[in-house]
Amino acid sequence: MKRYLPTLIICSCAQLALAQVDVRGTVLDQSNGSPLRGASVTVKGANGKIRKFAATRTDGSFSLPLDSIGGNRLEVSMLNFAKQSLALDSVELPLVVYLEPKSTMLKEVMVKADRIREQGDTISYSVGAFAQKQDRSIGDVLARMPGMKVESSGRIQYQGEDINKFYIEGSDLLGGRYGIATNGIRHDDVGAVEVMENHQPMQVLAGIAFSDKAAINLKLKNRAKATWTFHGTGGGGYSWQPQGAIWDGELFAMAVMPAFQSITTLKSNNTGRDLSDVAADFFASQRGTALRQSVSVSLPMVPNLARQRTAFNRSLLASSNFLWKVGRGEVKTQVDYSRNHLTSDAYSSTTYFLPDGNRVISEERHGEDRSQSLSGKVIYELNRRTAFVNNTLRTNLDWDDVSLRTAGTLTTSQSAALPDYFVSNNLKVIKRFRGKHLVSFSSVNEWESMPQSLVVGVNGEGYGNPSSYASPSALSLGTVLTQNIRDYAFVTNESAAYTLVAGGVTMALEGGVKGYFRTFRSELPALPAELPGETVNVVSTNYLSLYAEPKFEYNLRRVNFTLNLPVSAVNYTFDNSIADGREVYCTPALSINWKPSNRFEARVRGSVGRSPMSLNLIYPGLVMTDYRTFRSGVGDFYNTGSRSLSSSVSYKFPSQGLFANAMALQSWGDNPYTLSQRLYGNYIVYSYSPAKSDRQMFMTRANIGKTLDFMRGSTSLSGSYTRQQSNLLSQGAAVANQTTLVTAGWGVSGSPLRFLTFDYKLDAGASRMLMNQREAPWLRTMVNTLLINVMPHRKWEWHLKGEHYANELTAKSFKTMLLMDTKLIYKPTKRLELAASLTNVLNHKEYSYTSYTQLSQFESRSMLRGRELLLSLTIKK
Amino acid sequence: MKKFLVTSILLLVAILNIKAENLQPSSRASLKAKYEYVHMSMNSKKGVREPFSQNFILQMSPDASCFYDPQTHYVDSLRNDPEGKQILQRAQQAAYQAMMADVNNRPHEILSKQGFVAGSSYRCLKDFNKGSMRVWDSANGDRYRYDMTMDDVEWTPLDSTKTILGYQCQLARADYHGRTWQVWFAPEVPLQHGPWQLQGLPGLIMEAATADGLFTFRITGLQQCDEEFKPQYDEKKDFVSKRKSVLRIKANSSRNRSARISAMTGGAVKLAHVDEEDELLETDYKD
Repeated sequence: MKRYLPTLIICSCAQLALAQVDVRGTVLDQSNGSPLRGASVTVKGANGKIRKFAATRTDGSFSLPLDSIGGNRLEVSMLNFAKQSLALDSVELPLVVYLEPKSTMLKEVMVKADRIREQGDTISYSVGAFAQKQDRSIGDVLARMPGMKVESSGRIQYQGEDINKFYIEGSDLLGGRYGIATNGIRHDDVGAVEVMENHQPMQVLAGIAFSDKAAINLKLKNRAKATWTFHGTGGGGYSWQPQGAIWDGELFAMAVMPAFQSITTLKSNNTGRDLSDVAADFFASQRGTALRQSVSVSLPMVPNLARQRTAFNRSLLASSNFLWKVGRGEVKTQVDYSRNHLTSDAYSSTTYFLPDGNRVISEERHGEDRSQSLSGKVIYELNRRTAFVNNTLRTNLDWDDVSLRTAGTLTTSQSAALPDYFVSNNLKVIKRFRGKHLVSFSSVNEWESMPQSLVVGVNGEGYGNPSSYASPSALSLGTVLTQNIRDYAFVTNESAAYTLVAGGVTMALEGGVKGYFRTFRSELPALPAELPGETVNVVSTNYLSLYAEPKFEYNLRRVNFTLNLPVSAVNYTFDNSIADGREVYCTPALSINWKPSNRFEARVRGSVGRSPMSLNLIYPGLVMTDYRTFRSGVGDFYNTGSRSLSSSVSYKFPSQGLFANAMALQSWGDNPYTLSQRLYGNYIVYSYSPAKSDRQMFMTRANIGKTLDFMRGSTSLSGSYTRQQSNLLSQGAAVANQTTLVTAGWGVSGSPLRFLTFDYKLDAGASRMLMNQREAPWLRTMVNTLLINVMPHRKWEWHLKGEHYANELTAKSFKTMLLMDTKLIYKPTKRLELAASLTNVLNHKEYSYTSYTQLSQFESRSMLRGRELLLSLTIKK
Repeated sequence: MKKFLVTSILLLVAILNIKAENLQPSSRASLKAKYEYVHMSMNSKKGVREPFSQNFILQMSPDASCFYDPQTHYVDSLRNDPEGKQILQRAQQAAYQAMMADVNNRPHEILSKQGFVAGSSYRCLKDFNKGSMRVWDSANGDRYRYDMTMDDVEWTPLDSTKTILGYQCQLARADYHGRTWQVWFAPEVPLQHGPWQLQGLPGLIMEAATADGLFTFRITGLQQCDEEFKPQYDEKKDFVSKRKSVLRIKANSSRNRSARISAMTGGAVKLAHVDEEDELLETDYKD
């Protein structure tokens, strides 16, 4: 027997080895346990080679008959799930394999050939085809793409409309603060820009709510994905005015991973570049607390010149943004800090030619503004086809201290502390049932406090020369006025909505409760004797509103009709001075959108209704807005009426690179009160009189853009016309005001030669203000900007920029100015760049002019940033 | 009788409805690839084979895919839009005027450069949930449509590997509808999709060629997207048929091309060279 034993064992082993094994099992989604169809199930031999494979069936099952499984591994993979791999030796059959959701990062190779590709509602632009040598950020290249407009803050408009989302690789990291990306991401890290027209950011609303806005998605190049990219610039130099050292630095770090994204940026400079708008939220809706600053002390500004030419600043901005994909949702955090210190100086003098000799009134102003801002946001978002959840907790803390001293004929000093504290939480939940039913709930809670203090000294603290004090004032010398304002508001808005889709009709009903609680207190300890009125305000303006907003949307072929019928019943409770009241409002609005083809789209919108006045206007006592201006509101509650009608058309032909749009808007409004302006000695008082007034506005604008493929460039033409009419009372007499503004612009850019690119822009404008139809001249402005870049060698670049301004001061008398900049860049390697720039080469230090009327002469002088030499170094990873 | 009439009308409507069943996938495409298709076709005048190439797009979602010629889709979208029709007509007029001005200008070339000439009418919509695919193809200027199942291909994985577009691909072989196919698939893209009617491997098919080298599909781009599957225009004009019948019609039509043209022009045009039957990707219709 012993002799046979080994043979027996060998035989049974052989039997085992020859027996067929059916490797079968089920593949399930770990997050919800549902079966996964289409998962690839592969059996690999000990040598790593594929032996057998299958795809899972609808119920998630698979079956792979194999003759042996010794040393074999089973691999289960599926797009957007983490791959599972297990040794078949150690498992029990049938298998249950759970796959964990995980976004798959693919190595992409753009599917494209042309500069612009059209695919229904998505247009894709190749970045390389539009980029020019001098471009740094993706925003520089975006601005060159037809149909696109990019402001210096990074804000993007497509076909004349603000975009509604900005994605990086399909993820919305920055929300409305995408200016950080437009100005920060280097264009050579981006492969293509996709424009998604009629983009509905909430997937759950897809096919239910129509969107007429577009979104932008940046498709990064492979080397910028799944890694950190950095670039930094540091520069130092010398400025001729203000005399001294200058700096300009920037650090930018970005990570775009499958489940994580981050952008952190740090910027600082004193070269006139204002950073406060870099982290601005372009999607921010108006705060429900609706508080408004009563004090208005601002620094002297030079009109019609680029801000960077006139700002004397020290600015710092730090912004850090993170996004994590958690399960099927996303968690985002955003923290920003900025500080800005601005100074400004201006001089003006008016000489009156009088029979008994000239009289001169001069004013020398010096202002300083120190502001700081800290804001933070934590967002959770789940954006699926069946459900949408978004909770945003947000805080904004702003501090702004302004001081302004005026020396000369009247010597004054003003200093204002204007902090603003804001906290809010927004929650929105939408759920879709059986494809046709939609239920949503939203809760908005906001709190804001805006304490303001203003200290005004007239001839106080020894500024100026008291002997030149020629204007009589009731305030004795050395008087100091202090005004303190407390303004708080809390608003809560809880609403629920139900939407039903039947046929082509979408019916939505939103209803909710809104509560608003606000307290406003102001006190002036003393008032100049000539001013009549109260010096104390204690106002509470509260209301509780029950509202319903039915909405009907109907799609008939290529026409979309949307009718909104918001109705609200509001209960107002004020303090004792004003009677409480109950009001019912209805403001219907209808919009029609016609899109006969992918190229053409037209819209018409109209609305009519009655609405409550701004509650900020209810304060009977006087509030000092600056040293010589006082304001008082209305002493009662009123309703106002408004009507508006607008239409727009847009046309595009992407394969020809042609984009055009035009819009027109007319609005009418009527108020039961009229703004009244009255002079008391040197003081101006604005108040409201209980007389009816109406206002009208008409606005139209048009843009047309076309690519110029023969020189890899584009050209655009734009124009606008705005007319506003309103009424006011001046010194008790009715004045009809009409302001008209006309603008026109033309731009062309391209690369006519391999080593030469240019960018030319012409902006012209004319404005006129008519009072009671009395003849007044048009005042015109014109700015010509030309930028030329020469690349004599691939490592060298030379930029030359000229700006020519022509500003009309009085009829036919122009102030012109030519400003020139130049920059030399050397790129020794791909990662390193050295630059030397000379700004304001001609060293213009002042923007000064004198204008004459028959009886007077006006002289004005403002400081400009002088010549500046900046040497900088840029490093990128 | 009345009852019968009503019932038969209802039945007819029901049948018509079944026929008009829309296979358009309900999901959106999340990935798309571009393929270059090359056919080494015989130039009967020169007696040598020359490459003839076309581009196709494959839109993919986990459950479905759509393989189409973007050029054809573009021209179809123009033809099915009143404004688009005008654009086409204007372009055609301009092209013929150019020819009038100078005979060396060939309208077809001009229009083709401007993208106004449709490419291949071939289109394949795969539904992985149902395990079926729907194919459109044209012959004699008519568009045919037929449905078929996916389970008639058995792949054998082979050892060779190759890198395509940065993806490690593995070789597999199968006989399919009369030809032997060798394909390279990327396990890193775990989708069973592929160009044309090819599918069923544990990774996207990036390159496919017949063993004789006459037909090749090669991927030239791959990117993530979020878009609707491209619809087929004017489905009412389709002739619903069966695969082998359509292939026979195609073969027959190419065999008798000169006769047809001659008939169409009342004998005014006669093709000089001998008709040769086009080589088709599938040859099993002859069985």
